[in-house]
Amino acid sequence: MPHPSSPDLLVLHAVRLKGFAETDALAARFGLDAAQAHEDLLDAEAYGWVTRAAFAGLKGWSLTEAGRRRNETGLREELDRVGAREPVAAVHDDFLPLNGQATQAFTAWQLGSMAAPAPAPTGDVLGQLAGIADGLHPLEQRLTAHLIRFDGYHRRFAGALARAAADPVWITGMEVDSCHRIWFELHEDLIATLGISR
Amino acid sequence: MTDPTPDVVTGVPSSPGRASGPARVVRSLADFARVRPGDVLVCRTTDPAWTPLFRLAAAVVAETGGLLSHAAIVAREYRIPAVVGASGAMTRLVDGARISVDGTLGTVAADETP
Repeated sequence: MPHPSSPDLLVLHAVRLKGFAETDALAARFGLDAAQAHEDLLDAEAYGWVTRAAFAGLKGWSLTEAGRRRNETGLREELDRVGAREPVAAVHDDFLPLNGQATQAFTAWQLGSMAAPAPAPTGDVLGQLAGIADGLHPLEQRLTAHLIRFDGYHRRFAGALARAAADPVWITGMEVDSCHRIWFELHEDLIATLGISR
Repeated sequence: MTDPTPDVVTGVPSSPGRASGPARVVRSLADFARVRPGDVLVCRTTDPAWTPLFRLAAAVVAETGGLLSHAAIVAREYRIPAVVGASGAMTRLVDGARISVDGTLGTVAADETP
């Protein structure tokens, strides 16, 4: 039976996954009400779990060390409450070889395009990433069978991939929700959920 | 202040190019506010929270990771030199001291001071 997560867990987890983001982007991550997310973030700030900072002309929320621990405690309690530790750990085991393929594809693409004088052809990497998207889909289904909050990675990845043919910034770009950013977010989500290090 | 015996740290060359700047040893989120534009980010590893620092940094040196790591991929995206898997970097590089990073060779050297 899929389990919905509590909004206060989700708002803190959105900060963990996004790393550094404004309120609207954090609320949008899990489809939370923006005004309520704002209130929850102010509460979390009062508890010392999040901090609002400015870097390089950007403003956003990020987790404090205490917030990171609080997030991991919440995730651990949720995982044990729904009895999903074993299946999520099994997904992580199956994710790792796919992660190796994905980071290899991203790296090869970057190194190739940095060396190329003109825009590099995207054929190889798009084919590889399509295969990785196919591998991601069943992993996400196994996760969402227990925790609804894992929904959306495959849809976002496939969406980014579809746009990458016309604009390769969607492969590894940092300013858009690129394949690499989505992939890395899932990796962060799995290790945060399991309370393990990379 | 002079440093007559510059320490050299080596690691995996992960994002090509060369850059110099003051070393900024960042251990946790609490250190983020100390990072200034043009600093060389020196850290253990990076995760999504660290991404904004790459917009400021002249180069990145990470103690862990390899060519496929988050720090390497993000550094290449921002076109800044990176050396990762640089064992001992956080202890051997002095916060605030000018260093030069060669992301093509995988070396980090303390700059000679006049």
